[in-house]
Amino acid sequence: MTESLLPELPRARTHPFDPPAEYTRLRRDSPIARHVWPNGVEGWLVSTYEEVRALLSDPRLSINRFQSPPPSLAAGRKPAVLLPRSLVAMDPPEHTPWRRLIVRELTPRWAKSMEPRITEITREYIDQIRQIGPPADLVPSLNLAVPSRVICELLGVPDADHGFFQKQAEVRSTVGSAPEDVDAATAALHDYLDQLVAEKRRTGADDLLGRLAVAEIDGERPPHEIVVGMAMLLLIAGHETTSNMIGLGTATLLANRTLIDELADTDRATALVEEILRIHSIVQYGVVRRATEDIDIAGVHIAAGDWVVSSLASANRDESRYGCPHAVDTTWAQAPHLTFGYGVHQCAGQSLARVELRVVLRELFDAFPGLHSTMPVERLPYRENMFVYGLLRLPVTW
Amino acid sequence: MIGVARVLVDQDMCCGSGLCADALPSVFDQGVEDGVVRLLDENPEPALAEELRAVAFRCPSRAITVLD
Repeated sequence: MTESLLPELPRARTHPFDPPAEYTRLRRDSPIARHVWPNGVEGWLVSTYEEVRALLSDPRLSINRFQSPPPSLAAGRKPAVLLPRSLVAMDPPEHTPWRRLIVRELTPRWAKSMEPRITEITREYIDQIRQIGPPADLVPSLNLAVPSRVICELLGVPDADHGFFQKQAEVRSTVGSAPEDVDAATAALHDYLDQLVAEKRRTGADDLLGRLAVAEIDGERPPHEIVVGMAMLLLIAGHETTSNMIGLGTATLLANRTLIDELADTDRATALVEEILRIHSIVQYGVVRRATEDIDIAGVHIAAGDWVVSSLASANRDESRYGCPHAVDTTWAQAPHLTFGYGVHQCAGQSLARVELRVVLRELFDAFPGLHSTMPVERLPYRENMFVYGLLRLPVTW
Repeated sequence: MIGVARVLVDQDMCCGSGLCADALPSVFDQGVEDGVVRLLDENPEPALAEELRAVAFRCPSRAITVLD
C-alpha cells in the first residue's frame, strides 16, 4: 500500500472527557476534509454540526460497507465470527419495514413504562455492591449488569439463561478479552439466539422476538437468519453503548459534584442526561458511510465511492451551535445532540438508553451519596482506540 | 412568530423515533403496528409554534414540515 500524504485521523485527547483538540481547528478551517485512517484507507472526515446532520440524512450515502475495507482503526485481526445481517447493514427501502418492526417495540412511551422495572433491577445490583462492600469496580457490577439484564428481559431470554447470556456479552465487550474468546462468545450468543428465535416462533411467544419471528414483510415471513441478526444487534448495541455512557456519566458527576443534585428531579435529570450524552458522544471515531453518488456540500466535492466519516463527537462540540460547547450546561435550551446519530439509522434504542442512564445515575448516587473514585477521574483507565469510548474500570468507594 | 402553524407529516419518510409524539403528544402519535407518526392535530395552537419547529428540527428523518 502506498503511503498516504493526507493528515491522519485526529486521536490524541488532552482531557479524557474531550475529543482531540484538533477538531476545533477542523471545524473552523476544514469542516469536511480528506484524512487517512490507521488502516491506510482514505476518506472524508466531517466535523461540523450542520454538515454531519446533512450528510447523515442524505440518501446518497449508504451504510453498506461490506464490499471493501472501510476506514478503521485496524486494531489487529478481524473477528473470525461475523454477525448476521441486520438494520446496520441495510439501506432504504430494504431497511424501512425492518426498522418499523423494531422501533414499534422501543417507543419513548414504552421506555418510560419500563422505569419501575429498570429501577428494580438497578437496586438489585446496587444491593449486591453494598453487600460485598467497598471498593467496587462499577463497570461489571452495575454499568454492564443493568443494561445487559434489561436486554435479556426485552429479548425474552428465560431467567435461567441470564447468567450465560451476560457472561458471553461481557467477554465480547471487555477490552482485554483474547480474540479467540471473543469469537467463541459471538458464536455462543449466535447459536443461543438462533435457538431462542426458533423457539419463539414455534411457541408464538408474545414478546419482541416472538412478534418479529412471525411478522410479515410484503406478505412474507422474515428470514430466520435476519431475525437472529436483529436479536444480536439489539443485544450488542443495547448494552455496550449504554454501559459505557453510564460509566462516563458517573465520572462526570464525580468530577462535578454539584451536578448530582440535578438527579433528584425528573425534568432536571432528563436535561442532565442529555448533556452527558452530548459531552461524551462515545462513538469516538465517527460513523462510516459510503457515497453512492457524487455529492457537493460546503464547497467540497465528494465522489461516488468515497468514504464519508461523520464525527458525532466533534459535531456535539460545535461552537456555532453551543454556547459553552465543552461544559455540561443544563440551564438553557441546546441544539439536539447527535450522540444517537441522525437520519433513518438514528439509534432505535435511544429512549430506553435515556431512561437507563437517568435511573442508574439516580439510584447510584441516592444509595451512595459519598461515592468517589479511588483515583482522580483524569487518571482512570479509558477505552482509547476503541470504537465505543468509555471506562475500562471504574473503581469506587463510599 | 404569530399565526396558526400548519403541520405536515410524511409517513413514508418517518423512521419511527417517536421523538415528536414524546415531545408533543397533543399533536403527534405513533402507530402501534409500525411506529410511524400519526398527525393528531394539523392546526395546533399558535403557542406551540416554537416547540413545533424544535420537534421538526429534531426529527431524524425530516418527516415533519411546519408551515408558517
